[in-house]
Amino acid sequence: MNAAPISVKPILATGGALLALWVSSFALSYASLGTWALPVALAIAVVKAVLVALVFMELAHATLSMKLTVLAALALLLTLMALMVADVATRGT
Amino acid sequence: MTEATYLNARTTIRSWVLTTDHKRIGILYLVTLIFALVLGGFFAMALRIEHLTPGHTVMTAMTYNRSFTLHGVIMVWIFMIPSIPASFGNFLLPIMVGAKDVAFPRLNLLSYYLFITGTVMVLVSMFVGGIDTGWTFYPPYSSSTPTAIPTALLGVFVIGFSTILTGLNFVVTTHTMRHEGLGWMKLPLFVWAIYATSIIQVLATPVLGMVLLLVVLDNSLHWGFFDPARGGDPVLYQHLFWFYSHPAVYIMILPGMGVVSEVVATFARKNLYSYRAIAYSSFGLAFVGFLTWGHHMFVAGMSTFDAGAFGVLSMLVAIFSAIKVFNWTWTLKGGAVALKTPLLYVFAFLFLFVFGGMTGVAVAAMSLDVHWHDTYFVVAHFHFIMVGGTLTAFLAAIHYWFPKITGRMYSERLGLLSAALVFAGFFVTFFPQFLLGNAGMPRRYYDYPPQFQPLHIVSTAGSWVLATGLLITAIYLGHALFRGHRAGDNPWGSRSFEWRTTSPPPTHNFHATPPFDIDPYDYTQPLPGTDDDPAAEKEAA
Amino acid sequence: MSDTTVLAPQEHFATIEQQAHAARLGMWVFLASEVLLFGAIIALFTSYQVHYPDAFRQGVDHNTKLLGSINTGVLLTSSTAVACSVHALRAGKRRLAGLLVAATIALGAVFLVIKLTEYAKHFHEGIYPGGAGSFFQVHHARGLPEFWTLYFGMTGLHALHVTIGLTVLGVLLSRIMRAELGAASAHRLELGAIYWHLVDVIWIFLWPLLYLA
Repeated sequence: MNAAPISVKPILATGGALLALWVSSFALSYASLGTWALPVALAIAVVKAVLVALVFMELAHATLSMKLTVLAALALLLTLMALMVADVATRGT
Repeated sequence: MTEATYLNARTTIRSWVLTTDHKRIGILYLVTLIFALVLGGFFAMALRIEHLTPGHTVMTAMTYNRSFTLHGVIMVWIFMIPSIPASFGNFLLPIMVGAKDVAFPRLNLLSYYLFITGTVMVLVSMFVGGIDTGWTFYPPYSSSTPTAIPTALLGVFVIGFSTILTGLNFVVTTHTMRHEGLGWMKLPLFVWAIYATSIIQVLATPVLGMVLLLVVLDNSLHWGFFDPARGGDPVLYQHLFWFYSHPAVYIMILPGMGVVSEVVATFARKNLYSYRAIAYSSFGLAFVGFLTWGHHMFVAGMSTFDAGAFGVLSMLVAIFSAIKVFNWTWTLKGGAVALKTPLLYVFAFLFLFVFGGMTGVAVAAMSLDVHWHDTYFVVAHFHFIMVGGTLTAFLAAIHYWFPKITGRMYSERLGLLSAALVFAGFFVTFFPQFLLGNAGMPRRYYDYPPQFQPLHIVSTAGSWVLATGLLITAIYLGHALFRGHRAGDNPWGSRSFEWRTTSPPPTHNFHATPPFDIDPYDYTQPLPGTDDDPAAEKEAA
Repeated sequence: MSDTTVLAPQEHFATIEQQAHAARLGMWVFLASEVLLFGAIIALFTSYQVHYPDAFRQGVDHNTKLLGSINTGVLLTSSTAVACSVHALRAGKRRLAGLLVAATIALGAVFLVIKLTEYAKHFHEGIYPGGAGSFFQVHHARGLPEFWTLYFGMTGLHALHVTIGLTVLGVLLSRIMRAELGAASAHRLELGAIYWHLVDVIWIFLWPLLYLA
């Protein structure tokens, strides 16, 4: 994992992709997507976050222990949100 | 003493309070923890005395409320959460992986002082108004009570920060500092237990920190995150609080299970029945522990769908606990069992943990919990797990590693006697509380109807037996600290890694390369350096 | 402890590689705990959003969308800059690395200035945390105060992390300029950069939640 990427090109390409996604997300917020607006915006956010993590934070080249650390944190975060939101969403009046 | 050890390397006060040696930091924690145990125990005794008679006995209702809150806060956050990991984990984990120290020694010292800062803040809150919410700090009451909520909660927040940094240090140490050739499957099981605990600490504690900050903002600036008048929902506080505080039970119990694994193997002189089952079930518990928090909220207004899901998920805990218990008992079967003080405490642990665990499965069933919720039944249940589990394991650890840490030995007869007293006192204190709760005695009530008095008196009497047992322990251990006879490097004839260096260990833990070629639970071949041990000779013969 | 080009590990480490590995893993574990810290308040936000969809819709529509969106671009650019600086320092281009870190810090400062401008606008409209202010005398939707309180809570906590990140990058910049950090010790800059990226990633999620939809 010390074998850092040799070229600066992937970094610049990722930066460009992030800005393109940023613009498209902003533009899509003016399309009348209704209930789909938030899922679409969050999906774009996930793509951006994955790009930052894999390329900028070099998670793609990281050791297994680092990848597992991130996965464990994400799994628990999703568990927290899922079971908490499930309560609010399934309560009667 | 001619040999250089971590104790006599340098002896100035400065060399202790600014030490970065993980063993000395472990001792600093141990001393602080015992102080916290005494203080929390003092409040517990006061509460039990108050309940000798219905109505007013020795304190006012307000003092009672503040006392049970402080008892809970001190015991949970200042004693039990850090107990075994911060003291024995710090002392032993680097030795057990064959390292000279933890990965970040200065961060380790910082953790200790953060812990002290948080502790002082909690204690200061006692004098600037106290807190009367119970250790769970539920809003809306905690958002509006004029007592010292901000001081106490920020204190717990700082302690949480210390917990996170300690956990981080242990995770990184286990990953990156293992001695060459020491794979995961060769590590002592105590390391697995501490590692699994550390993961919970790192990932659950920030959620507690966040939610406590929100309550502080609600209480001091009236932001109303959980204020129904502003559309807030106090049940969501309980979700976030228990997302941390249920896994916190595993922060308390998993290290205890690590101690039990070490003690059982050493005193049965046998390889554990299944190393992998014990190691992996620690992770099973750590993971499942994150899925069960809702069982604290069955009657809080949570949806029936969520409550049903949490009820089923909670029962999964029993599977992984049972895997461990059956492994330990099967290991003891047919072993050359030496009934020493640490093992007697482990027997107490097994009995109380199984008893408390079974009642836990019962309260995880929603229909039963509706009857038992917020009664003494629940109080008895979690004391069986937290005191009967963590405290007995902590005492087992103190006795088991006393010769490792100090190089001296305590009186075995007094050890066995006080272990028996602690067990009996504990059982007499808390068993009547199951009956009280089932009969309808609510928890945290100052007053009670006269028909409950006999059981309350039995419970209070039990608490005195328990305190006597702990007092005797303190006296003979204090005596042994200075006057105990030299224990030798490996008095129990254990194979585990921490016994393969001198007792007490030198500053850098090992005199030469750590001799780890024989596995930590392998009693089939003689261990060089311990063959003069009579027990080992018998085994070899 | 000052660094020269030849680095000796601290005494409890066997090699400098082991030390760097420990430092990296330590940073990732710390970031995992940060994720859960922000996760807790985001989970609270999401729960209230499910409970009060209309009030939260109103809140988002009323937010300073343009300024928040510009800030997203600012942070994404700053992340790219700091990633390039790590690359430059590894290649031995210390001067370029320093310039890029300085650019990152400048962009971070711009972010904070814009953020404070937004706060000033909210206060001007009578929007304060806790449902205080004249705005809430007119807008009564149940749940609306929670949207704004959580908005201030989440962006405030994020701004605090931006400030910490800027401090860390400032220290690293001064060490690069004094030639205390070079190709051999690039992993130190890398750790600061990873932290900055996390601050960026959190904003990537706050932006759609609070401004877009």
